[in-house]
Amino acid sequence: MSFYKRKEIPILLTTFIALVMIFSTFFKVKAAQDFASTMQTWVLVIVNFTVILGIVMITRMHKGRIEKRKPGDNSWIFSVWLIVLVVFYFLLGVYGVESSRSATPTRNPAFAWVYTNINVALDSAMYSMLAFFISSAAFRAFKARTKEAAVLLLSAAVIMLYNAPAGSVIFGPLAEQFNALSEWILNVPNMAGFRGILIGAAVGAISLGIRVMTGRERGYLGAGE
Amino acid sequence: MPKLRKLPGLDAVEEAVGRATEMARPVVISTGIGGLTDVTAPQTIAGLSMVGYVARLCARYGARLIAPARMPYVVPVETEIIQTAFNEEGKTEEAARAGDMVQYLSDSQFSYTIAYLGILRREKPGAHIMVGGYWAESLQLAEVGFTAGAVQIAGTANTHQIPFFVAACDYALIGEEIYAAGAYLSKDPVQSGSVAGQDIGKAIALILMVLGIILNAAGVTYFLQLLRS
Repeated sequence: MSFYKRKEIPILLTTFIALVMIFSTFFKVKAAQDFASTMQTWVLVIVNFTVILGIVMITRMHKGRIEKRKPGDNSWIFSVWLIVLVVFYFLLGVYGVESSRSATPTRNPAFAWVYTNINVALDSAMYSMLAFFISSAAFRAFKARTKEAAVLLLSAAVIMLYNAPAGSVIFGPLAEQFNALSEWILNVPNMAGFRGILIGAAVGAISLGIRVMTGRERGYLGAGE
Repeated sequence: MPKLRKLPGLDAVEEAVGRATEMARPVVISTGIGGLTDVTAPQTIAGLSMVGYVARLCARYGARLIAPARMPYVVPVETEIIQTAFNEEGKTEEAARAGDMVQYLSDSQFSYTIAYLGILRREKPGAHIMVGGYWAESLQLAEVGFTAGAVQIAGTANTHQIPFFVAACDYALIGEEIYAAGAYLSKDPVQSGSVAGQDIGKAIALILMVLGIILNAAGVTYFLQLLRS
């Protein structure tokens, strides 16, 4: 593939579309806004079509695992199960759309039941496991090896006690002062650091955008310069 | 060329890939759960730059690369990046298998997380690199990566997830550092100049904030109204 096809045309397209999108955001010019709206529709169509690509990739990957199964290793059964579920859920989705005459398959009771009672429940279980991961990470991180780590440990201990019901019981008559200290930590030093990082990240994103638009940042096109 | 401060997280990438190679373990890299069509796109682009750099190192050292992906449309982009990197390092045979290195897992956040955790458990990577947009799954991935014995380098601009990466990973890239990664690693003077320009941007933001505070305190709300409109 020629150099121009690989690098220059994508960069020109990126720059042109980015400039039009920025222009349409800040200036109320109908032609630019119509173009931006069309582009956004294109994005939706392309993104939705890539779901088919995803299904093909995941099926191909697990088909390979089933074919290459080794004696004594039963993990291929999970691949079979995954393919069965992908097909089942896909067909249920198509049936849901068809039967409810709506683009939202969750309006179909069968699809909604599977979604609510299996998908949502598993997602919630996974999310709730975060509490245990936080405990193990905190156990390793909160060791006062340096002055900075000691500050982190102390402030974390204060905030944890502030959020836990036990905090106000432990501090008894001094609970009000303790709560005020905790709120000060959250709203002053914590918020200052938080906003500093936020501003830095925003400026960094703008800088990256400029590099992408001027064709300097080419990482997303491939590793080569 | 402007002098950039050292970023230990980025300097450690090559060492981490080298370690994984010596241990005959794979390198796992991901660009987060953000996409390329919304406000998280800059983070994903920063992650993709890192994928290119890491793929090049893997090609050079002969390390196995695994790139789990959440968004289906990011997969062809990552595949192309990895293929280019391997081709440029003269590993054409491996480049042809770039499609197998990128693994699409699921569009759903926690289904993706579970599958990703499975990869970390089974493959026991020597290096685990995460650069991009991460949300609630950040700590789960980092913790399981730690138990798998990987050297972990992670970065995100999502402020609520940064503490998790700092606590659980060997090296953390904070906020704007992920956007500077491509420029920092490329050693290109113009790109480095744009990173130095970020400091000017921050100075301007600071001046505007101070001006805003003074004007607001003086009761002048014209600029506030202008920005709101």
